Amino acid sequence: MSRIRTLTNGIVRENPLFVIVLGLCPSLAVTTSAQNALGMGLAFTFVLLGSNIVIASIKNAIPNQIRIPCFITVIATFVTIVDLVMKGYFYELYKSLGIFIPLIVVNCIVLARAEAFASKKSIFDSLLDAIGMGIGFTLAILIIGSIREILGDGSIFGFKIFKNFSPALIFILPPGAFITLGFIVAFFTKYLKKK
Amino acid sequence: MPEPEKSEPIALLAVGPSPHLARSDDTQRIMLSVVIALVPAIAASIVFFGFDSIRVLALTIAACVVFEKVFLKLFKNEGRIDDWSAVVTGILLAFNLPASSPWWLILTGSLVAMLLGKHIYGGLGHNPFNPALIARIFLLISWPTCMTSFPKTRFMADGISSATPLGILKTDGLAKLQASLGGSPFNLALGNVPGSLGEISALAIFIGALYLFYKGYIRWHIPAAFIGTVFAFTGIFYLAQPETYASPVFHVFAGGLFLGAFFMATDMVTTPITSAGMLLFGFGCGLITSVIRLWGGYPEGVAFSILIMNAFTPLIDRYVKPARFGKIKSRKP
Amino acid sequence: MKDTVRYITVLAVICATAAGLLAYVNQKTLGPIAAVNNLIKVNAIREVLASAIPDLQLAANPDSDRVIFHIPDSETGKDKEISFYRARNASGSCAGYAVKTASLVGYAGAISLMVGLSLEGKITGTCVLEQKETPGLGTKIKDVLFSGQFIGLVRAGSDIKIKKFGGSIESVTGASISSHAYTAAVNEALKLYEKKLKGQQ
Repeated sequence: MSRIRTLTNGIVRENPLFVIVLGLCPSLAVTTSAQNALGMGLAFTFVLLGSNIVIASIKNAIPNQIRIPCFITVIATFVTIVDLVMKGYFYELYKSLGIFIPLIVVNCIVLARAEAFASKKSIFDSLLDAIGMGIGFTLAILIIGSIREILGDGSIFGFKIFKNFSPALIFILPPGAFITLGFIVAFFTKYLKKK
Repeated sequence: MPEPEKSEPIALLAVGPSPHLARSDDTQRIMLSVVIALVPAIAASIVFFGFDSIRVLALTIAACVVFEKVFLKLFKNEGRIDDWSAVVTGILLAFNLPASSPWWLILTGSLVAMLLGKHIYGGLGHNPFNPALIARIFLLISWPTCMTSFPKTRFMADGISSATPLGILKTDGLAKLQASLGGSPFNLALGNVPGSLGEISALAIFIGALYLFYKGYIRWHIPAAFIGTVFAFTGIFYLAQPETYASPVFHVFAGGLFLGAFFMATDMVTTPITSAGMLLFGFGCGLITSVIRLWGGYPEGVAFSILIMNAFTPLIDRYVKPARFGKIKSRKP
Repeated sequence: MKDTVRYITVLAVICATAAGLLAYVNQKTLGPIAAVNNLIKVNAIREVLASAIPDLQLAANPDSDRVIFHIPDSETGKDKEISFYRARNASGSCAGYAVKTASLVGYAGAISLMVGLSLEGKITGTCVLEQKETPGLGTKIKDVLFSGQFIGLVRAGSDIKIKKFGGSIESVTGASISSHAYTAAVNEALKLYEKKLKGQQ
C-alpha cells in the first residue's frame, strides 16, 4: 500500500511543479510547445531515475558532510549522458531544448529528491519515487506546454487545430508562462491540495 | 480610497481608526466624475473616427461591466457593480485601442483587464497595476499587428501614412516624421493624427483633466512631474543633436503621454499617496517613457512606464512618508 | 584527519567513476555527433543549391572544399567567419557557392544561415543553420514563407531590405528584429561574394 503511495505521490499530491513548486526555470522556459515539454519531461525523468537509483545504492558510503558534492556529481554525470546522446541521436529535439538540458543539473527537484528521499530510502522505493516524480513533472510541463501552444500558436504538437484563429502570441513568450503557471497553481491549491 | 459608506447601528461610544473626517465623496461619485472628465476625449474620438469610435467604446464598456459582474459573483467579492469603476476601466481600455479593433480583440482585452488586472488580486482597491494598461500591454504583445495599425482620422488626406507619429519617428526617422506632420503642430495637439481612440487629442484630455483638478480628485504632482520629465529629458537630447532627436514639444503632445499622465498615472489605487511620492512616481514614469521612446524597441513607452512605476508604488509609499503629527526630529545629544 | 582522508577518497572514487563513464559515452557518441553535424551542413548546402544545380556534387566532408573569410561584423565590429563552400557540377567545375554566413545581432544572439549563390551572384535559396530566436515567433524565419522570399534576388547596388526599411522582404509578424538580422546576414554574403569571388573561377 505504502509502495503505491510512494509511486503516486509525485503525480498529484506532491506534484513537483504545481504543489512543491520547484524547478521553475526549465519548466517556464521550455514549455513553449507540447513537444518541447514532452522532451524535457522525458530527459528529466531519465536523469532523476538514474540519480535516485545510484544515490540510493551508494548512500551508505557517502559521508554526510560531503553528500551534496557527491549528489551533484552523480546528477551531472547523468545529465551529460543525456546531453551527448541527444546530440548524437535526437538532434532536432536537442536543438529545441538547447541550453535547458545542461540546466537539469541545477533543477532543484532532482537534488531535492536525492536529498529528501533517495539518500534515506531503499533502492526500490527510490526507483518508484523517481518514476512518480518523473511522471508528475512530465505531465505538469506537458499541461503547461499544451496550453501555451494552443493559445499562443493555435496548434498542438505542431498540428494546427484552429482555422481563422489569431493566436495570442503572449502565451509563447515568457509572460505567458507565468500567467499559465499561476492559474494552474491557483487551481491546484484551491481544489486538490486540501485532500 | 474612501470606502462606500455603510449604514451601521450607532454605537454609544464609537471607536475606530482614523480618518475621522467624513466627506460626501465615495467611490461611486469619484468614478462618475472621472467619466464626466473623459467626455471631451470621447467627443474628440467620435469626431475623428466617427461610428467606429462609438462601436469600440460601447463594446468595451459593456464587456467590462459584464465581466465585472461575473467576477464579483465568482470571487464572492463585496464590491458593487454600480460603483462605475468598470465603466471607467472600459473607457480607458477603449482609449488604448485602435478604432479598427475587431470584436474579439475588445472582448479579450476586457476579460484581461477585469481578470488579470483587477479581480485576480481581490478587486477594486487591491490591484497593484492599472487594469486598462495591463490589458493594453497584453494585447500589444499578443497581437502586435492589430494593435499597431491605426485607421486614418476622418480629416486626413489620402496617401498619408497611417502609422502613429511616434511609429514613423522610430522606424523611418526624423525627416519622414516632419514631412508627415506637414509642419503643423496643431494637428498633433488637436489629435488629427493616427493613433488609438483616446490618446490622439491632447487638448480634449487636458480639458477633461481640468474638471478633475477642479473637483480635487487628482493633484498636479504626477502629471506635472511626468510631462515635465519627458519635456526636459527629450529637450536635452534635442538641444545636443537637433538633427537626430525630435523636439520636446513633439514628444509632449505625441502618443499617449497626456492620456497616461492625467488619467492613468493618477489612478488612486495604483499610485503613491504622498506629494513627494507622487513627484517621484511622475519623474520615474517620465524617465522610463523617454528612454523607451528614444532608444527602446517600441515606439511608445507611456504604458510600460506607468506599469513599471505601479510596481514601485508600495516601495515609494513605504519610504516617502509624511512626518507623524507631533513628531519632533530627534537631535543628537 | 581520518575523516578528511575518507571524504577525499569517496569523492575521488565517485568522480573517477563518473569520468570513466562519461569518457565511454563521449567516445561512443563522438562518431554520431560528427556525422549529424556534417549531415546538417550537407543537407543545408543541398537545400539552398539543389534547384539551381541539379547535378550537384559535394565532397564527403564539405569543409575540405571551401574558402574562408574573416570580416568584421557590420553591426558590432566583432570578427566573423564566412565560409564559401564550392558547389561542383557533374563535370567537376565550380557552379556556385553555398555561403555560411551569420548575423551576430538577432533578437536572441547570433543567427547563422546558409545562402546559395549562383556564379552570377543570384540567390538560389536560404536556410537557417542555428538560431536562438523566440520559439513560435522569431523561429518562423525558418519557414519557407519567409526564407523563400530571397530566391532569385540579386545585389543590385544596394542591400536587400525588409519592408519596414523600404525593401521588398515581408517580415515575420511580430519579429522584425529577427527578420532584419536574417536579411543582414544574407547581405553580408552577397557583398563579400561581389568583392572577393565574383568572376574568378
